[in-house]
Amino acid sequence: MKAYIFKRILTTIPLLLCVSFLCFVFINLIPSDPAEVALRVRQTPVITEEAIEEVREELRLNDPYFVRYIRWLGDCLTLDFGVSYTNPSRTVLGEISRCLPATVWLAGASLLFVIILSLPIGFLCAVYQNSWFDKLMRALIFMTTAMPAYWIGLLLIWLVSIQWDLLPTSGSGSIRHMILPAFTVSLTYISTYIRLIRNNMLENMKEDYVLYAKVRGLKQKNILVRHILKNSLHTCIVAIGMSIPQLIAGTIVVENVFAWPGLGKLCIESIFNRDYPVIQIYVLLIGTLFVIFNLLFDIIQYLADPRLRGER
Amino acid sequence: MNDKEILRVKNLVVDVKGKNGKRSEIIKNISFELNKGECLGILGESGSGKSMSMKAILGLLDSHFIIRGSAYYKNMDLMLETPEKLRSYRGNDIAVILQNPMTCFDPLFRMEDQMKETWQSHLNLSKRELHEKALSVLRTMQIPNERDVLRKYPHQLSGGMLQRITIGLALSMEPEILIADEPTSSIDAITQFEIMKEFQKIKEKCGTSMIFITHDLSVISQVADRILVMNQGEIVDMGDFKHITTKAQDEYTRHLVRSKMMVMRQYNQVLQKGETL
Amino acid sequence: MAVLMLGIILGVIIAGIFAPVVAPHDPYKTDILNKFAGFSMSYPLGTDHLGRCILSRMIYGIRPTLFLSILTMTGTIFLGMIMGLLAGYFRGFVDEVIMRIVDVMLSFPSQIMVFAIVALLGVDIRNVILANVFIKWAWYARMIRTNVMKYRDKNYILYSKCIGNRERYILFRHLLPSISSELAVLATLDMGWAILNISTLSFLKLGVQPPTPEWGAMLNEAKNVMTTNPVQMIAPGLAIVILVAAFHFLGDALRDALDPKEAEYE
Repeated sequence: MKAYIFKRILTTIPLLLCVSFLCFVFINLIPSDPAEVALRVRQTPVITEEAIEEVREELRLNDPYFVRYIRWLGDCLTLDFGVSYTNPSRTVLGEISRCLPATVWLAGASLLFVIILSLPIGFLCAVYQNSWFDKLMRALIFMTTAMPAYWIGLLLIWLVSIQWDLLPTSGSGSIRHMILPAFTVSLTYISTYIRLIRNNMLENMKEDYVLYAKVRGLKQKNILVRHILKNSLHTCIVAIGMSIPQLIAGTIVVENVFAWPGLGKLCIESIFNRDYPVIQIYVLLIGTLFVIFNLLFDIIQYLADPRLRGER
Repeated sequence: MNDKEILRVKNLVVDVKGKNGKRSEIIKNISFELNKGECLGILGESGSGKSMSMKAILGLLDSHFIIRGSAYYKNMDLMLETPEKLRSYRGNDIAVILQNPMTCFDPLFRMEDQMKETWQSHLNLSKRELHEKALSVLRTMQIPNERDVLRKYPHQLSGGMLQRITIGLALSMEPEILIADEPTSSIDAITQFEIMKEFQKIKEKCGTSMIFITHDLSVISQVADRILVMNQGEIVDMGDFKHITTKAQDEYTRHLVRSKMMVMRQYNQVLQKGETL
Repeated sequence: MAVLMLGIILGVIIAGIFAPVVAPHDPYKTDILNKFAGFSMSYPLGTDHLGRCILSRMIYGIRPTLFLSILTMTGTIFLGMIMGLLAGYFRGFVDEVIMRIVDVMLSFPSQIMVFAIVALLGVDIRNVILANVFIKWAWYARMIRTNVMKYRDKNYILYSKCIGNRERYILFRHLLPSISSELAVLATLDMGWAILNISTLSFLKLGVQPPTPEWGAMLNEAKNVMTTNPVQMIAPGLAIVILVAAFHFLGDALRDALDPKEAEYE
């Protein structure tokens, strides 16, 4: 068991290196010369060839690619991500940590919506398969997969905030601000997870252990909740766990609709301002989150399953 | 229904609803009866409708299936009973043993929980009594280290051991009828022999009425008093083992017997050769 | 139902091709005095904040929305097919390298990749398409490779090998027809994905740039005048939903028609 976890952690290290290397390559692919950018960041009035060469030496940009990557990686590990191109008085770390809490809050609220809506709906859809409820839900899921999230957001703002005047249209500050964006973010994922839980439960219902439980006269409620639901959630653990980084990444569009001051808004602003270091670290952050959460929930699934846990 | 009979199935028909409203008959009007203390064998290839009729009687088919006909158990028509009433019969009055013991148990629960669950659904027992009962079932089935076995997960036990537990569980409720659906088909030959011995013991000692469903002629010959042959949803022949092997009317039955006999003869020849060597 | 969906899609395509004929007005012509006009005979869907005819803009908007999606899918399938065929045909080292890249591509969050690539290459619709192709091809490569592997050992391929057909000829002659059904299903479903993605990026001003009419970009314009003229955001949004739903529906129907076994489970 420990061997498995150890091995699993070891295999994520090359993956993380891969992610970080991609991010490093990314910033080196940009059309502008980093030395020139550095000079502009320092607000040097006149940029001459010599000055660029000097900065090149100073930033050790003439070193081999690989050496620079290692140095950059070391900086990243000590959370030194450099400074923003557009606003040299701000560090990338500062920018990210300024916006991160808002996004985490939003993603957390969305996760809450996803869980409290998709779990019971998926369960009911499977139990009453092909009933009017199941058909209605499937139709709704079909519609939501065809709807652009930003449009749903706009409609919600118009209906709930402008027409009914129930919630603020945009911005942040209170829980009331969070409801609409969180619901919009969650909508895309809710349909995915309803389908996942429903289909998984239907698959499980065909299993022998369900027939045997019925044959022994177990109560239907017990079979559904104790056995089928538990087994289905079991197979979905990784998928459900992966929804957390997905939600964090998925806020990007909705944040811009609701003017939510999180990472997504920062990312889009940085794209317009060509603030490459910020984008680079944003991508690195999301990539790392994906890898780490994948590892985490793989291990959780492993620990939760007596067959994998290797109890013999 | 007379006093001798415990179960009487009359004109049972099962239709399945296809996707585009098409209906096809899976069970075509079958009737049979099970006498008290008798072991009735149902013989047929896979897909002949053996298991399906068992599920229909127990009320285990979902709304895709349309069931007609009647199944009298103790003068009550099971087809007219409420789902809750049927549930209380299952496991309690009518116990079932399934084909593959390795997949019969929920992989996420310990054996003790799954055994207790059976009794909790029918009886009102304290924790202590449940635990004692679980231990005694394992002891009756002569399973060693019963305390350890209770703490194990299904995947940690062998197929033969699990099947013995399902038999023990089925008998623990002292059912009126025991239905065994291919109980030896997915078990290796040596364990198969042991399991069959258990069934013979049940027959001799407990006198439980039994329905033994299988595709294996040699297995059925060891326990069945009377044999029903099913083919494509119909009962094509009925009688004792001798009747089936020698005087079968139906072409399909004869074909089935011929091919099984051939295998058995070859098997015996090989055995004899082995002995002379 | 599937026929109806196909009809919708074809209708939209035709309207897009013949946009100058179908559209009642010039989509770029502003008429500030006539802004926020309601529904009328000459402006069936009213006018926007600059007095432009919304219906005309919708019809012209088909071109970037739908045609760029088709372009994206063509590029994706083309790249995916080449990679998948290469991996499945040569196996060994080539297969190993391609499949590792595919694995990395599939495990990475695709949405973020699009943004990263657009950021890198600059804000432009061409880069959006490149980015979309770049993140999607891996799915097709893997699917095609699996199929190549599966069909290689099928009887009729072995048979044609026996009677001496060249292997490359066999591959294209027999393999493509057998893959094409699965490919059609996947591509139809992904058309919906491409439409959504392109319109989303245009909505964020990263794709098609105003004043070019595009449904996502039109929604962005509508967003700014939401309080004064909320009707403006209905038409483009609804159009996206209908078109995407039509593609999804068609894809599902195709899958059911081509694979009867799946349909029974539903």
